[in-house]
Amino acid sequence: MLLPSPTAEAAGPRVVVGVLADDDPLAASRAVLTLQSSLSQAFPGEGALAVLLEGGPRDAAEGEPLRRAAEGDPPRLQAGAASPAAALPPLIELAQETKATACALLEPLPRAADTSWLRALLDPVLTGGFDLVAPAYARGRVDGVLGTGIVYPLTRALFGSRLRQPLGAEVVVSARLGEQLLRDDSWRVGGDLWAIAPAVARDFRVAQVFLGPRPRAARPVDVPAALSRVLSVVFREMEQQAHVWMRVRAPQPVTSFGEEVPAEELAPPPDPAPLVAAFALGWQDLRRLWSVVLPPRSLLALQQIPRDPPAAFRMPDALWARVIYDFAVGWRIKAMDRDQLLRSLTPLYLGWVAGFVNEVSTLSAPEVEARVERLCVAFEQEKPYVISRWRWPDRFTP
Amino acid sequence: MWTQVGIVLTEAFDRIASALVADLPALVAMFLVLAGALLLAAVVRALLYRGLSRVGFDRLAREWGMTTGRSLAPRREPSLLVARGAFWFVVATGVAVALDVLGATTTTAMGQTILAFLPRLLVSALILLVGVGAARFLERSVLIGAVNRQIQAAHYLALAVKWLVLVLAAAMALEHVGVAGGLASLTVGIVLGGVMLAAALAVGLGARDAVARALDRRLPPGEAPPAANSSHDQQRIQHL
Repeated sequence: MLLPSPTAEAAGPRVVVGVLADDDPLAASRAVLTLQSSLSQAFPGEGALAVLLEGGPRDAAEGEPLRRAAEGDPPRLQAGAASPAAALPPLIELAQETKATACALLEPLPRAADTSWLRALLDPVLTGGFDLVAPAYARGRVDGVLGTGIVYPLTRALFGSRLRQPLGAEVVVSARLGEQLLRDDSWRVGGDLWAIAPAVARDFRVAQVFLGPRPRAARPVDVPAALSRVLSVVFREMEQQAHVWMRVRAPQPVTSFGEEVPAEELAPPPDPAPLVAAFALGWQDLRRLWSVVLPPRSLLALQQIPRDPPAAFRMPDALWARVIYDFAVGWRIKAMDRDQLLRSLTPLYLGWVAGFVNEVSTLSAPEVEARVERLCVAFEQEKPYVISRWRWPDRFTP
Repeated sequence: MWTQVGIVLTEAFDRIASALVADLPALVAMFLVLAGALLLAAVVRALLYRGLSRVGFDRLAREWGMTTGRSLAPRREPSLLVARGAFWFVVATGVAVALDVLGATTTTAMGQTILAFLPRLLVSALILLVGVGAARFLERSVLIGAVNRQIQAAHYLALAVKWLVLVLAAAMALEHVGVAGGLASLTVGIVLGGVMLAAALAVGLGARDAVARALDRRLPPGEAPPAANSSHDQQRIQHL
């Protein structure tokens, strides 16, 4: 059933690493083979297995979860879903089957020849006793703004976790956490599975590892689709862990490994004018929809934001936090079709991005972090608001 | 003469009395049917309201856009509206049966006509209801999609889609109920044709440049004109 890797010992591998097969399967296969070689160097004699996670149907591989396509090709695991994040459960199952101490889900990025990054990423779980490790890459000021503007402040305010990049597709999971995740039926609901929220909600030991600059820039995404996909995952966890996050009061520090280095930025800051125009058009045409979830006070505050000149556009942090909380409540009570609701947030999000770009374009990396810290504090200060609205969602008159 | 008048009156009253005696059971039966229908309608309304509330019909209706979701005031709940509709449907059926029970030629014919008409009316109401839901859902989809693509006329596009679906649903409902079926189809045809002609004229006369720009953007990179700075700026922002 299980084909042993060349480096896996008779007792089974200690580490199982899955690489997501993206649009370029050939490059992903090469990445897996390179990774297998790097694992052998980084963990000599310990046994490590690198597999390629494919999105094919799992039924086709019934009885043979792991297979080698041909000589020279890496072992392949059928993830059973189109979404990369959904590949985590079969990977954890494989790790449990082989009694591995840790399993890691990685993107097929070009990696450095030096294998120290692998040890830095896996050692906290293998030897440090941590249950979940999330890699954090050095990003530019306007890189990963969806995480910076929504996911990081929201997860920090809700769960008290200071994981700086909680949205990444890459994660290292211990056998203990893997077992818990597989037992949790509610975790498997939906296509995108997010391991970080269940881990921080259940007091598993979480760490982040700074790995330097990201080897390859993230690809451009369709913003409404990305917002809908990401926020539906986050809001679903928010719904499932409501009994936990309502009791969390203050954020706790997260153990960090590696040195946080700022990314080099050569390009000039983007022009905020198109973003402000998107916000203005959204206000003109979508405010009727927003009024279903946003209270009049928030709508009035949005109306009063000056749009001209675009370089002066700012969205107050407290208002932005309340908007996100109101959309979370709207998603929970199904104020309208959930996908439509989250997509309708796009102009508001682009408005926030415009304000953020205006504010951070001239700041240094530490100053940007200080700015993000102020945003997080605003989310934390508005937490009583979301608790109240979550408990009594109908207690406002639009 | 007065004797004759007395006889005529007596005979008339006798005839009325005998007619009443003959029709009284039917009248009593009619009133019983009406009372039973009212009772049944009240029971159906209560059961339907509770059942629909339990299965989350109001939430589904809110998701589909049939209600705004702004208020949970009982009078606006879609489940109550459906329950009320069912109440009046049962009452109307009861009236039709009562007229039939009366036994008179005219009332029987009227009752049977109503009975034959009610099912079609019910299906038509359902068609209209689904049409309204679909129209509002599609209106929102088009509105959000168009705004997110920076289309300035998003509101008009959404309105056009909404009314197109509404007119189509109304025509289907009218055709099913048998009211001006041919006219309804003809109306839809005219409206659709008019919309297409108007759209073609609008694009041809007023939006040539916009279409040309849109086509240019879809050309292969080598043939495309230089992209605007704003597009470069948008792409420089990494959202994930």
